[in-house]
Amino acid sequence: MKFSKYSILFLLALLPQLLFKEYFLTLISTIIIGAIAGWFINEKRVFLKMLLVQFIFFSILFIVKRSSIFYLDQVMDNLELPYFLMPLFFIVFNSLNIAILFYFGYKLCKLIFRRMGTLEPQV
Amino acid sequence: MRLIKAIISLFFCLLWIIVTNYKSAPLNSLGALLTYQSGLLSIPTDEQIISSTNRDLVIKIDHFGIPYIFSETDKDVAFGLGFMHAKDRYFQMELMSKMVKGELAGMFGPRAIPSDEFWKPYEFDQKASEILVEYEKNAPQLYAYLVNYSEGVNAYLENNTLNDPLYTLFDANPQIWKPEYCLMVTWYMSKNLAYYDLHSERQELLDQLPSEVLNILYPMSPNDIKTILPSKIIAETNATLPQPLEKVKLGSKIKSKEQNTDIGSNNWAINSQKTKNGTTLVANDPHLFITLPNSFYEANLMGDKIQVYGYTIPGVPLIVSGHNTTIAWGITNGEWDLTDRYLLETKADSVYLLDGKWIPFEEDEYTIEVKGKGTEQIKIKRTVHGNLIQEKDQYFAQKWHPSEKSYSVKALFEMMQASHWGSFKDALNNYDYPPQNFIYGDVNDTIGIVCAGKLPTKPKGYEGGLLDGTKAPLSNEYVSTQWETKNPEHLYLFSANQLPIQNGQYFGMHWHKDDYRVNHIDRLLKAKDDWTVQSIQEMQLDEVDLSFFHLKDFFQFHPLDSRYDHITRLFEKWDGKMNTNSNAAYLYEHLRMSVEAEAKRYAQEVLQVQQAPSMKSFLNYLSQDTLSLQATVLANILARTDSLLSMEEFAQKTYSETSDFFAYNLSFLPGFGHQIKDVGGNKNTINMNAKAHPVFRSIYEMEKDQIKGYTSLAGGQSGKMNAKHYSDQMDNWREGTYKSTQFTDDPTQLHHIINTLNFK
Repeated sequence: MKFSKYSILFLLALLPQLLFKEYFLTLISTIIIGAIAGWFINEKRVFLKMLLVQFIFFSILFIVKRSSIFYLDQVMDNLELPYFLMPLFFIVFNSLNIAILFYFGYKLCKLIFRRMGTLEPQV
Repeated sequence: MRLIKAIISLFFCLLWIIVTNYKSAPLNSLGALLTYQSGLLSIPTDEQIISSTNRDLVIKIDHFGIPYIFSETDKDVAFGLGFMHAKDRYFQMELMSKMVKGELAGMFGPRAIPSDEFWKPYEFDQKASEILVEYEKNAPQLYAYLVNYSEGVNAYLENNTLNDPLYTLFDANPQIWKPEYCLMVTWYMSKNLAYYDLHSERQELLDQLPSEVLNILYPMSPNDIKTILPSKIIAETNATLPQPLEKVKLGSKIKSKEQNTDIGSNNWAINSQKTKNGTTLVANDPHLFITLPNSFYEANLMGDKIQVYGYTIPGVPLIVSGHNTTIAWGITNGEWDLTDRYLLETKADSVYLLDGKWIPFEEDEYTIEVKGKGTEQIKIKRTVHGNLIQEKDQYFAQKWHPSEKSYSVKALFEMMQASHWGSFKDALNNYDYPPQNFIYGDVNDTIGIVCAGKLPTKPKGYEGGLLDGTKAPLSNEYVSTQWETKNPEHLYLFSANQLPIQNGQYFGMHWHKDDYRVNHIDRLLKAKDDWTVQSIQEMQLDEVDLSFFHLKDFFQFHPLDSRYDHITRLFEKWDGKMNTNSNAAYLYEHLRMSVEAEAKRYAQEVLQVQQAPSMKSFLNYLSQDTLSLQATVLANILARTDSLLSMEEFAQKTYSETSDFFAYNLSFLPGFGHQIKDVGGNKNTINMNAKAHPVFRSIYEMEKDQIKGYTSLAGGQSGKMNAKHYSDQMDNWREGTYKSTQFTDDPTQLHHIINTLNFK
């Protein structure tokens, strides 16, 4: 039960980046999902777990969609940078970004409700 | 403690969010660009093209992305071309229209403000709208053609998602296209091709140098120049106009902005009596700064009266270089000076002297939108002579003639429907700007050339310097002669940006340009009587620099010591070919640049003027001077070459070390573009390799009942970096490989068709 609740919230946080053309909506949605997670779960290493989930997810996504940015290889070539930096940059950035947005919402929720004295672990 | 840790982690999260959301104009934020759906990863490379309906129109697209547009009506053909231009080049089109309207900063931010400051005060959007209204009344066929073209552009934008990464990178959305934007191309190209302003430098030469030195080092019209036309047509001059300034005192060393003088082009036509197969040949290779995408777009239009193949400029539905069913044509830049610069006498930065009276400057204010900054005000001062320009402590007024209304689009529209020499030159009689040399050939074995454009009448004796701003401006009068000729006795015609005629009329700043390329083309065309398509291709790829032989003549009177054995060997053995794998070409290019550097030093240090003479003029000047001066200059040239690399180091290099160039993406974003390797030639060769390069090469062979074409485009048809036709022709262009074009009114006869768009 606990596993599925975690899984749903972590997986839910992956969806906005697939849904919204407008980055601002992705950003807000991910933070809100993080905040909802902050209400429902009380777990250690939330940031690391989200980072890992997003890393695996985005790596697969990147491999599938790699061909749509093939022209960036030419940029790496022109700047005399190794090709592997491009996937590394995309994957690391996205892993960090979604994990940070999620964690921001999660932590903000915890902080607010702790200050209000109302937050008890909802597990 | 836990609270502090939480606050610190929240602070760092917030910092990350701010940084990744920050839009450093003109670019989109890092977060938006790298996240999947909002960023670059989700832009599809393959597009499902949705065409609109109710049009009598079929477009077939070949394996290079070239569209073949078929319809019973010309207006539907225009619609089809608009649709294809939007599909492949909309960012480029929008860039051009926004630039000319002075709205670039709204898309690219503060860095584009100088561009808007130049363009906005000319109010070209207003002028274009007025011209369109005139066309609606006076040229309804053209008006309908432009309107349908725009509808085609907008039909693509409405029905399809524009999958160009540049819009994502710049966080921009495509705006709708209006018919008047098609007219803006003439001003855009005029800025690129007809905005020369070296009048201050020229005035300095006129003031400082005795005429015997001036005529050799900076000759306005050298006796040995190969003009485009036989030099017997006398242009009109108006002796009643005020004289230009004499002995102007420029307070300080005024230097105009850097002018790109490397742009140029080649075209030639050969009569059937000089060809092996008895077919007339027309060749063209315009030289421009190569970007990706290319400035030109290849297309075939098969309508009712409009049945043409060739190169269009995205944003305007015209074939500027190509052929129809009976005639072929090509262009080179006229390089006429269309800028009048007046030296003003001013007081308190607010008034100027005119006919003995102090007149206040007129002031206009324009508002421009700046991305990320809101709006900004531009203030422009004007005099009766033109826009005010301040350089250091000196005021000038400048009139740029192409800023007037231009009817070139109408002239080109009529030209591409011409069926013989008479209708061709009649159409170009109304051509305005930018001045172009139109080479001509037809299936009836007529060859010809028209040097088309509006040349402002200048005072008699004018030599390119400043005009007197204390007197009334020159009246807006233009030379009415049409410079043209056909079927010469020597059976060929060509242009390579040289003077059209030699008659004392001031055309432009040819006084500081070399004519080695001109002479080489003339020699080659004269020497051969069995020209074929193959040999014309070889000529377009020719990399012989005639300046080498000129320098060799100069050096023969000055034996070099053993330190310069490598240079001695160069002069003994080399054939002057600037091939990319040549060690001699590498050495010579350094030697040539040393000569140019020495010419500049001599001008600035000895003659005390800023403008360097051309290499040819400098060598001619030295040849007529004392042996001691020659020896001194020679020593400087050798020392400069020697200081670059030792003899041993030279021996290990090939010309490819310096001849490669970078073709930038149109956005000029760092890293975006292609390094083009193994390119030969230099600024003097037919296959030019300088700031400009041949953006395309075309050859048209006129047979009795058809015209065959062979073309090569530097780049590709698409302007989208994620498209397969973005740069797929670049290797062929670099290697000098041509493709055979397809020109037929039967769509079923086309080969290599990979896509068909049916609008019915």
